Amino acid sequence: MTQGRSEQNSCGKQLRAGKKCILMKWTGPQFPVTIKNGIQVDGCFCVECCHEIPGPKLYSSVEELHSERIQLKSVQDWRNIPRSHSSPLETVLKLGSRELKALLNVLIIDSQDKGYDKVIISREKDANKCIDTLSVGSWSKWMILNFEGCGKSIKGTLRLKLIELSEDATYLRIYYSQIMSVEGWTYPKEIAKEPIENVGPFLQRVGYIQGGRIYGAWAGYDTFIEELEYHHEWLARATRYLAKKYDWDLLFVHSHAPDYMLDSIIRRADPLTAVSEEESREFLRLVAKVF
Amino acid sequence: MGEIVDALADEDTLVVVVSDHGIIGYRGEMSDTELVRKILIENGYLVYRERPEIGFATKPQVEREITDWSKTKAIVHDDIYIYINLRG
Repeated sequence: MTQGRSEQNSCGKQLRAGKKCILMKWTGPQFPVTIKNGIQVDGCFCVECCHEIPGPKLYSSVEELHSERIQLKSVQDWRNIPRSHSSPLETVLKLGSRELKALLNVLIIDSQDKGYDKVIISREKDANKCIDTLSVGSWSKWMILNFEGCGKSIKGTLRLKLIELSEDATYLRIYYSQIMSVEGWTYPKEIAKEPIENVGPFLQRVGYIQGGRIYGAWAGYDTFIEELEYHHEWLARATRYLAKKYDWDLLFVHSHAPDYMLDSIIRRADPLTAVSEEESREFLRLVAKVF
Repeated sequence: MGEIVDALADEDTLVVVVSDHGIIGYRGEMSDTELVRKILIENGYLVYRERPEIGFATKPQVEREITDWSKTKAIVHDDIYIYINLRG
């Protein structure tokens, strides 16, 4: 959008003319920044980001492609375990990258005597200090964790979703969103904390599938759409916040949500390429939801 | 988009919406990409050493196709692009 001008122009040209720009993820890949008079939020590509600690990931208790295997075992040294009708189980999620790591403890309980149904996420092995309790299909609240290694300690934002938990806990699948550093993805650098504090953590990319190839992680279309919704809505909220607070002449906003949707869904939505009419109807519903 | 425009735009604001993607349905025996690829092959501009059937795929199936670059002058990619092999 341009304010007070009637002609379309490029950001670079406007900048050279002394105009102020706000670039919201415009236009990947566009990092490192080249602007001096304005604000830039990210600008990395849709399949990787130079500011992420890692991309999205899927943990699974069974061997499956593009997932990290987790082993469940009887609990040891946990405190304040809620009542469980089956023996409580535990596992550990090793988060982060090769260089920067963090751990989360996971407690699995049978809260209603109907089989395992709750997953408790905690930094310490103390259920009273847990971050959140998840049921199948629910997301945790966003959390900020310290990721450490190679002499560095970097704060990263993430949330988890419990994708699957079978009654006997044979199948446990947990997805985590892209873990973004809390800073480094804006110019000026100190701007990053403002959208995090005022509109929420930045989700720069989502896991998706294209032609059978998985980018990041894949936990099904429901999770994909939920991630897209957050990604898209964050962009709108952050844009409103920054553009109301800071002066600008040109505002560039790039949303990748339609592109992710096209890559992942559209071939299964078109009646001519879908496997069945039912598949086409279901995927057209997803297309409508994204738009 | 609507939220941003409602919150920030007034009568002096120019709003421009652009996209680098579009959607068309595949109507017929083959996708547009396949049709262009067929034309390139039939006219000797695109030569494969190995190539499986790829149906409606629009991107080069790089893990399965082997292009004979010494004989290839042009390839098709993503429906709208034809790339010229300047070294070939």
